[in-house]
Amino acid sequence: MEALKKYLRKPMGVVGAVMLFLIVFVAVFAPWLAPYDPNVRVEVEPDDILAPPDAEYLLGRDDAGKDVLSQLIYGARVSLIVGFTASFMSMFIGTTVGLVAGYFGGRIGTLLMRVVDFLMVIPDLPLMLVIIAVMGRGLWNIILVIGLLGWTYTARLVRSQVLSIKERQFVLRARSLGASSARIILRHVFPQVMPLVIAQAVLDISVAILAESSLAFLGLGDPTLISWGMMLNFAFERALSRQAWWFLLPPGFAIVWVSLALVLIGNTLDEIVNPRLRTHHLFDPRRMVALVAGAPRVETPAEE
Amino acid sequence: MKKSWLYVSLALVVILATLLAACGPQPTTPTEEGTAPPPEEDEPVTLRVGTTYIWDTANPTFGWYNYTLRYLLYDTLVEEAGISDFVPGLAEEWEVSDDGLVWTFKIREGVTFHDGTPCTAEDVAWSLNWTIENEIETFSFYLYNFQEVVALDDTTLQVTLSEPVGNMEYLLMYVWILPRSVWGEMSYDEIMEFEDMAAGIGTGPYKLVEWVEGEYLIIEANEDYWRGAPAIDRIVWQEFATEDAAVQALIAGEIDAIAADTIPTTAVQTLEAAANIEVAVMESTTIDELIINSHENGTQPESLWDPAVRLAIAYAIDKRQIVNVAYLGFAEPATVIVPSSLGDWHNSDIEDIPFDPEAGARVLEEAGYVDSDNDGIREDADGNPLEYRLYATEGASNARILEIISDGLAQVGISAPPTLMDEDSLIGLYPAFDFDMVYWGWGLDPDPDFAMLIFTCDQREEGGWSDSGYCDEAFEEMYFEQAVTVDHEARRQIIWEMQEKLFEDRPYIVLTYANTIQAYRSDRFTDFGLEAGDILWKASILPAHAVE
Repeated sequence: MEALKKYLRKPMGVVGAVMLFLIVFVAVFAPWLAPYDPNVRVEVEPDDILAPPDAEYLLGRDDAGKDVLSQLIYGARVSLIVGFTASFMSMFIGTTVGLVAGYFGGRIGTLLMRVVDFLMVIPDLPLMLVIIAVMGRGLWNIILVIGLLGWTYTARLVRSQVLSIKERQFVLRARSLGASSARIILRHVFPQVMPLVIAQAVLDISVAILAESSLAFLGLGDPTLISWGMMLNFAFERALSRQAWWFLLPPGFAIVWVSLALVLIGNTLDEIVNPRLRTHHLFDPRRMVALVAGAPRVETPAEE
Repeated sequence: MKKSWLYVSLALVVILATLLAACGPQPTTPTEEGTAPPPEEDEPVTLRVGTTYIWDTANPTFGWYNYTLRYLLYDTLVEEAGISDFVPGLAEEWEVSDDGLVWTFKIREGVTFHDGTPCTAEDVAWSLNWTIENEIETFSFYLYNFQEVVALDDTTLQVTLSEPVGNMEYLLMYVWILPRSVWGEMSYDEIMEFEDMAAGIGTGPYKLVEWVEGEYLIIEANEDYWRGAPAIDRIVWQEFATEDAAVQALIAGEIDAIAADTIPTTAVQTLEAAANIEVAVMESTTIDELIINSHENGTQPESLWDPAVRLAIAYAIDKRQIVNVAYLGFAEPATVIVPSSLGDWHNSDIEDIPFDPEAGARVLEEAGYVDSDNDGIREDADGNPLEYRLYATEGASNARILEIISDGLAQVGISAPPTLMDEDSLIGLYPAFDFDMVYWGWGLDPDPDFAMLIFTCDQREEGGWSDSGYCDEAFEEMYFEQAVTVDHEARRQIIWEMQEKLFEDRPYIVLTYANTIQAYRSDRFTDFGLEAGDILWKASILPAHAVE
């Protein structure tokens, strides 16, 4: 409750939450919101291809003569599914690796962190391109690739927190009472890093959505699914020469919209839970003398 | 966190860039900005051509790209002015003996190669013999029937065939006459490694001057060309990253023409609305087809051999929709492999299988394919579902075509999810014939021979042309019969029968006959012979000149 109050006091966080809610709403109620079902085939004439917006097709038609608005609405589903699933995957892997590496340290820790370093130095997108080209295109392959490559930052973050948490007294106490490592990790350490992980996972969702869009834009998306990246892929190849902005701009804006929403939420959460972003006591603007004298606290925004 | 901000800012940049692109010149309001400055006196007339790929190599013995450009460098004995419209080239006239075996050509006098060496009947004979002896990859197979080539004197060439042929003009229009001064001393390996600009030396209207790979290529008028120096002094090919970039460059007046096959159909409306640009849409010999694996050692499922299944597939394909979506109407729904642009070689008696998924479903039903587990996909008697691999090369337009095919097949109860792959991967499947259906397109020769050749059994060997793996004894017999039939009408009948046979066996389901779209700056150049089907074809470019 305390955290929620803190969150609601941050305007950027609230804006982000509202933006995300809108997209989720659109994705869930797509069949009711979309004027047409984009999966139904339509007979078209050459003039229907890339026809500009009119009363019947509010955002015009695409290069196959289908309604752009309906695809935009349905596209939200793929983006959100990929985003949430892939980020859940990376959250899971990253947290596990981070916990193990941080808690046990030693050879296991070093080994795991070298794997993290290794994955971090390889640029993600080219690696994803190669893997997708080998594994084949499909929604699950894309989710897997994004999820399996996106956990490294979470792992580092969690490890560094665990390194500090495991030295605290409550951990020592638990151990001296005979608690097993698994119990300590799950019952005592994990709850301490959980808020951080969630903040990071929200940010990861936007990274995953952008990665999916990039892959689809580069022609490596699942060809049977409508996604924003796929729309951009078709628009870029077939709508540019027609200057059909109604097909090109909406998916681009949608991607920016949802990423922005998630980044706003993620950063706000991060500010609340990440100790490293809180002000150090040495930066406290009050003077030590005043503290001793019992002067009233000066509210500083960074302290929240 | 930093990373995600980076992604967002990247996305913003992309959005901004697309915004800028979208705010470019609108098709409905032609502007004056693209008007070219009037050419000055004495300055060489330069035609700048936009393309996405110039060619693979200057060496004509293994270069497969840009025949149009190569035809401006070299001459052939016979030339093509329009599709199947053969006119004399280096040979002024020719006659054939009564038995059809001995052909006598009168070779033009006073012709010289770009390096100044003369090109007499003797040199032509050397070039043809050299082609045959070295089995030059790109064109020696047209001379498969040539037994002896000799020069009787400076202007008379005599060719003796092993069997009579009905399409001599066609066979010769692909055989470039190359100079002994360049190629004479080379071994086979040296020929295959030769990449010098001297490889461009021929007797044609233009000389190869400079080529910077991936950037540009320059050819200059041959002042000593036997038809007289061409009016356009210089042609520069310029390579663009995308077709759209070339289209925009043409609108802006940075280039004067766009090579055929480089204009996306979506750009035609924009080009037609732009000022000072002439767009010509012509028939072409390009066909698009769905290849059905017909190789007996291929990896396709047994059911794909069933004529009923193939018929159902034909019923399931909406060719009109492909024409409208992928070609925006700049194509015709196709029937047989020989396109209508090849005149009377095209079998016009055959009526196409209409798009009728219900009829397709009925065919499958009657052949015993029923959907026993209610998943929307039919199964054969052994319970194997009708699931096929459907491939094409990458590209938005190919993706749309596969979508249409796949949708239609789903309606008759066949599952064929579309898969796009890069060209190398697709070609990599061929040695083992490891596919079920492939969407592909290519341009036919002006004579039906080659289109039929690719369905003969020998072509399935490594290096052959077969892309379906088709092999049929009756078809084979007809092929060899038409090859030696001299009488046009008799040969036409055989060719028609062969098309019918292919239509029934369906190694190919031919989808469309595409148009070529050409565009040039009408404020700078005029009088192209566009009926040649390619703005830069020899017969098109020679009469063209700058606007006064």
